[in-house]
Amino acid sequence: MTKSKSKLSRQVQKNRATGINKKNKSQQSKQHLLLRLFFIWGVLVIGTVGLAAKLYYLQVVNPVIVYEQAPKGKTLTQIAQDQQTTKLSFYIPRRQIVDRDQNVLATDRITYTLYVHPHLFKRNSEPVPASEIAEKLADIIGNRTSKQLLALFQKQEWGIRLSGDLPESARDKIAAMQIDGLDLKQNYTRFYPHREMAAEVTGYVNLDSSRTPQAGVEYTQNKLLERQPISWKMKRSFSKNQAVFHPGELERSQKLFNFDDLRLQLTIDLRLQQIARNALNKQMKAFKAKRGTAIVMDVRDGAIAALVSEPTYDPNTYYQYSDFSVFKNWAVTDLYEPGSTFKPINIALALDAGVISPHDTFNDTGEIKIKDAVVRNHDFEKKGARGELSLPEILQYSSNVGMIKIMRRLDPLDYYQDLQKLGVEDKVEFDIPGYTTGRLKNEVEFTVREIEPATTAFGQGFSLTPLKLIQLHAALANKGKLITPHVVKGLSDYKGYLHYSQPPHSKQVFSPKTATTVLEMMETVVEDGSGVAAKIPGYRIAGKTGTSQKAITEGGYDETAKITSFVGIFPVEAPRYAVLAVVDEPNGEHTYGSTVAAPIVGSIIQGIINIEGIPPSKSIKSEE
Amino acid sequence: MSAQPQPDFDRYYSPQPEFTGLITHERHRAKSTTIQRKKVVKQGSFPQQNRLPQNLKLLSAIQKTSFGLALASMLASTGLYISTVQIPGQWSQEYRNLEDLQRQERQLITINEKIKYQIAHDARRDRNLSISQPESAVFIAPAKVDSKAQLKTSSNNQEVVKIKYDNLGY
Repeated sequence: MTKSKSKLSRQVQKNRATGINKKNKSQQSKQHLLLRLFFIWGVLVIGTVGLAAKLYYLQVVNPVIVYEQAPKGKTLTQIAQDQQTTKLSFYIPRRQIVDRDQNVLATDRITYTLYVHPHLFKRNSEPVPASEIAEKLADIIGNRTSKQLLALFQKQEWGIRLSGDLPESARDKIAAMQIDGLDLKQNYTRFYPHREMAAEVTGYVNLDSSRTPQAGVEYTQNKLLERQPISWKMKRSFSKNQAVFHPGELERSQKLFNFDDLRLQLTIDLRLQQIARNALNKQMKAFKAKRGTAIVMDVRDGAIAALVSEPTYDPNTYYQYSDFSVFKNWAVTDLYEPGSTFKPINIALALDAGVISPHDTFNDTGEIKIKDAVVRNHDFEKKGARGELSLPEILQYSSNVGMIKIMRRLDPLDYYQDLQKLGVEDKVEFDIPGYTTGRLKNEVEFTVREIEPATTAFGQGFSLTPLKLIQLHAALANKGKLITPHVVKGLSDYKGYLHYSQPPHSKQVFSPKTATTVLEMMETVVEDGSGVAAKIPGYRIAGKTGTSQKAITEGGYDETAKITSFVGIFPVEAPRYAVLAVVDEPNGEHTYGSTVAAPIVGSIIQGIINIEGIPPSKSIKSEE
Repeated sequence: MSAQPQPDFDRYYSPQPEFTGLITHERHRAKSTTIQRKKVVKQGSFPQQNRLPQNLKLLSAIQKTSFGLALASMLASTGLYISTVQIPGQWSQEYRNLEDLQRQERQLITINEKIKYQIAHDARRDRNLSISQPESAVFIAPAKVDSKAQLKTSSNNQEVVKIKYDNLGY
């Protein structure tokens, strides 16, 4: 019994032991399990915390990153912004200048300046040999051989300015090369397609980046022509090798897009300008004159249809001219003594003052003595004294003596004040810079010395610009109103609709009756008088020739140097255009206004008739 | 099928026979048949029972609407996401078109004006060309339209225009 008991107890003990062992073992394995779980959990948690810490470090603390392809010394956000944002500058060129018929006289073109940095010659981060680049660039640039380019590349490591005037087609070619070290900078370049044809009106703009205008309409209308550049800083991504811009993520400070395509429209007619220039050049060449000018003005509103001044320049290459006087438009800036072309204006003043009547006659004695001086007609040697002349005849023969006798009837002070009222010494607000005010003798001298009103009677002894003279003749043509001449019509869009223009203003200087009377007197000059060269059969043209001697600085007049002019107003029944041609210092025999300047006006008026289609006033005789 | 323990409906609701007669009759029959093992539940002993269906209805209504809203907002957000990809692409395409058109305009203006200049330049050089004389121009007076002519039934409406100058150069 005990054996079994002991066996049983041993068994029980064994069982108990194994149970305890099992318990211990399971406890141990449980602990192991827990430990392993903890361990893995710990690894994961440490990994997560480490990642979070790195994330915090990269995003919030923003260190400077150093890796192979990164730009040196930039933080991650900076690198990201450099890659993602770009500045998009829109095409906002300087406004075009167009003429009356929308021919473009000045426009902006895009040109590129190429800068080369040889130390960056890489394609896709792999260096490219300089010789290959030199060959390709030599083809594109064209004015240098590849050897010269290679030599240049070896001299400098960065910042070589290769070419300043690359056209737009070069940009595609250079971009296709996909080389890192080529830098294209976009510029606007002013282009004048008609070159010297309208240069005195448009002026020119400096070629450098400041683009300051220097002459002409470009200078005076700079506020209308210049436009502020607009560029947006935009987020950009790439898709299928093309840039995609994200306009929705613009900052609030970006200016709204206000783009318009208005152009500055001038009153100049390019065809008439060409006709005037051709006619002027022809006569200047024939007489080897120093300089010349032709102005065509619409008498109703002062719009100038053609303004030519020779010599002139090509505004595209303004830097090639060493004589700076070509840049000024001498029709506007230079004074000259008008001579006989001023006689109709004097007659109008006298008629308005009431000292003469249209049917008066005066005795032309050929020469007249005033104090110590003797004044003669210009043809006194050949024709002598002509006797009684009517007012039209005085104009026809351009008699100085007759004019002196007329103006003698006017009180010198009244005469002087009338001249002031005409605005001879006033500034004309004109769209081309440099207008010079005319010069009269001072009041005391004019009223005291008898010779002064006498010389002023036949247009010498005072000076004014050609522009002022044509303005005064236009006043005769449009019933006595002095209108402001202008070249700028306003801002117009592509359909020709004017958006902005300056209002004209006028001042009555002659009475309408006087103006018409004088105009009819001037018509006889062209019909029978010295202006026959400007006659066109079938059309009524009024005009006056002028030949004056040039004053020299020492006082007195130059015997040989002359300045010839002719002014024409057409058509007389309803005056529309006033044309003035002035030729300075023609050489040779028989150089008078009638031979030098009148044919120019005749050609110009023919041009006007053709362009405008003005029908004749009288029927043409069948013999002609 | 939810993981929650389901209420034991059999303990409270017995399978009811079809409703054929009056309620009182039903109650009688219900009472008599179901009296065996099921507990009869009076309507008054579960006060929450009145409110629960309404609460459940409200909750299910809320769940349905919120599900609909979630669906709508998902669709809207997918739409917006697609637009964030499409709209910049379209804008960029239009901008590229604009740049192309501006470039073409520049080229055309340059070519056009250069041709005009060339023609004028050559015309100046040419000795045989000159300004046409005003005598060779033909001026035609505008035809007088007779208002009475419209009443005529004849189909020929042409007017003969009198040329002012007969002595042309041809």
